[in-house]
Amino acid sequence: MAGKGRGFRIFSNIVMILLSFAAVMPFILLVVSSITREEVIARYGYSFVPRAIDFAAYRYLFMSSNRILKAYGMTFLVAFIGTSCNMLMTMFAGYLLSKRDLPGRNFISFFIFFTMLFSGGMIPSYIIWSRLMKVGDTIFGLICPNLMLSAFNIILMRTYFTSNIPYELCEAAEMDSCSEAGILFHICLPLSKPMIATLTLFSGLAYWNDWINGLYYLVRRKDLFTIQNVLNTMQSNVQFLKDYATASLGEFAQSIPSLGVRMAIAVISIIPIMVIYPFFQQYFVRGIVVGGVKG
Amino acid sequence: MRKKLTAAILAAVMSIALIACGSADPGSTGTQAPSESAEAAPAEAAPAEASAEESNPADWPVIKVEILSFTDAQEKEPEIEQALNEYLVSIDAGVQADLLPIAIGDRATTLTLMLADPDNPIDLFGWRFYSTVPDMVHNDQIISLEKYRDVYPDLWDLFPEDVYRTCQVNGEQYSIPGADSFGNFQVYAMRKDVAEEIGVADKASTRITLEELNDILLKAEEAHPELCWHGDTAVLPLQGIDNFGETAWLGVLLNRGVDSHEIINYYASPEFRAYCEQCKWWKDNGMIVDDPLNNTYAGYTLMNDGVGGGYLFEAYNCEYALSLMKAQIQYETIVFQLTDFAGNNSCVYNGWNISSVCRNPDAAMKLLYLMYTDPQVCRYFTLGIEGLTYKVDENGCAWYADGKDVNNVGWNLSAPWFYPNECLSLPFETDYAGYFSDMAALWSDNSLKYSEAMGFVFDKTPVFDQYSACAAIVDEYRTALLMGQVDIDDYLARFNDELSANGIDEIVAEMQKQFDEFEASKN
Repeated sequence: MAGKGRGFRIFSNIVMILLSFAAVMPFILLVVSSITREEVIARYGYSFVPRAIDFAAYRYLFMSSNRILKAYGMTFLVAFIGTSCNMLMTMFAGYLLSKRDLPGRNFISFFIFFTMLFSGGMIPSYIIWSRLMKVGDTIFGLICPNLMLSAFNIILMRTYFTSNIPYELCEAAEMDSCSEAGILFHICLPLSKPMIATLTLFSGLAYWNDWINGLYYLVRRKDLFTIQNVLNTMQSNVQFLKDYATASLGEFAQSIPSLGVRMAIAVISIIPIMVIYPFFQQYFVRGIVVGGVKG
Repeated sequence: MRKKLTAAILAAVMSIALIACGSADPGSTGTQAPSESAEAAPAEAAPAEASAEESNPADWPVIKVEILSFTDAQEKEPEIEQALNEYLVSIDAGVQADLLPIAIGDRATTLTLMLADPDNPIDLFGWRFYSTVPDMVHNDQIISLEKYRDVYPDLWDLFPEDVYRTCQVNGEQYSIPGADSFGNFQVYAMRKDVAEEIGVADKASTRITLEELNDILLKAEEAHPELCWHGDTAVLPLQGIDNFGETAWLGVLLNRGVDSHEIINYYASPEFRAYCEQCKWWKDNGMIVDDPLNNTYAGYTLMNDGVGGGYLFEAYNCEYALSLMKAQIQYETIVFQLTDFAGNNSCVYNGWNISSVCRNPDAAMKLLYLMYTDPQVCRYFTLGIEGLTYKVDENGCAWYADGKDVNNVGWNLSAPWFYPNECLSLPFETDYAGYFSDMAALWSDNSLKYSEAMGFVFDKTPVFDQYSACAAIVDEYRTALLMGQVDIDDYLARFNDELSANGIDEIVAEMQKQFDEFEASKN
């Protein structure tokens, strides 16, 4: 029996090592491609071992280093403010919806759920946020639209509260004259750390990776661009110049390494997430498992 | 207590950050003031002429104009905008400009949103790389310019009449074509060192036949089997067709549309078969780029990367072609002319429009007129400010200002072709002083041939289903044929069978019907 278990463990480990290897390989290829000379890739294709090392792509990116550093700062600011607002509202909404005696609970839940299925589309959303809410060319344009409230997160939070916080506990607190805010902050939230950490990571990642809001709502204030906006614009420009490389575009197109730049952009933009992710991992796994199984 | 204090500090920091970042600082970009003026301008503003006479420049309407940017920032934009506006005041133009750089990669989205937003409108923009005139009219994004035909008659006399037709819908002018050669011929560019090695350099800049090109390529391949010599799927002048700008080529005119009135199913024609056989011959002789179905590198990239030795492209004369090569290719090159000059819809690359959300179309038209006719106004857009972004040599050619290059100049000097009349600008980073004057000379050359279909736009609506189905089939089959990857007899027959089964004959018939009506309306 013990031998069987050992064999299974070895087999499992081999499978997991292979899977991990398969997950890491593309990243290795990404890094290697970003430091391989463009013409070598054109001539010989991709390789895990660079035939000719060239940091031209990184040089091109770091010519805009001031801009990139500033954009990193904006990204941290936007991600911090946005995630904080998102979590506050998610926790409040999730807590309210978890109350069985909330009037119109089903209607409100459907109303929130409905937005997961249908959206207004690009132009109506833009007009609402830009003309009505006046977020254009302000930092609010990066924080408010799309990301500040997630129906998916609210439903996860609500499910966690209803499934994992005993109703009797809240009832007992209520009998001891605890207010709703007190129940939320002193009882529910301390018992929901895995889910809060998981949703914080979700929300933080969404803000970190977002470039759509900047594209839509920052027409003049490019100084407010986040790192994803800067890199996305750079990549779009590079791609365009390669796709439409005719006539006088040549001078520009020739001066930028397109493939290498794209790879370098990917490397630069994922580094902070790679640094942060391990700290959240334990909560992330627990939160997802609990939310998924009991949801 | 400490936690509460931390929370209070964090809340305060957040509030301050939000307030600080939320306020749009007019001084930070230098362009807020004009745009604010534009927003402040009443919708029912008086015509520009009246404003010029009756008010001071501060009250003139401000028109927001698109600036094409290849990067996400144009640092010199505030200075150039100020200089342009000072010039507009000096000529009592009655209108001011608000320059809005839009990065080329984000342009489609940004323009689409601004064209739907009357609170933050774009007033003047070009349609190249964005859309087509019929589509913009259909989407109600631009206004008709017909009422300005009598106000600015010389604007309708700049180019050949056929060219204006390409920017009309139902006979109404919605866009003014951007200055260009409006025609071209096929050229083949080859590395000069290779041409000299195989003894064909003496044919540089001369007209040669396709057979002569094939002989040259055979010698080149023999000398340099490591290089490829062709990798492009669309070489329309060499194929000799006018495709009306339709990428699926489901109905075309032969002879590039010159003196041609019959629309044919190109894929079933002997001409297409002959071209496929030519491509197969190139492939069989090792001249086509490796893995052509997945290789998306442009011809000049292949040359620069040392993979290609030459490629096909279009030009309006050989000197122009060589000038382009100097800018694009790190090797010295020569060119061979392969076809005769002709113009068709595909040679009208750009046009300028007034948006339907523009609050003062009269003022916008006035500025547009100046962009087409005033060299000084034109050069602010194409080159910036002399001494700051460019300098002029004794031949009248422009170069980057001292100490400036493409990376630090702060203005996009590489896209004169995007602006209304590049021929009022100066040749940039080239010794070819006739770059623009030779181009402009073509407009009055009555010997040049244009397609009968200049201005014809096929309305797919009556055969939409057939068109969609056939276009998908073309996507599946065509590249393999044009890269010589398949057996022509078998593959072409299957290709045509599928096209027939999905209604290509109906498409061609509908196209012919619409083309006949177009020709009748022309006459």
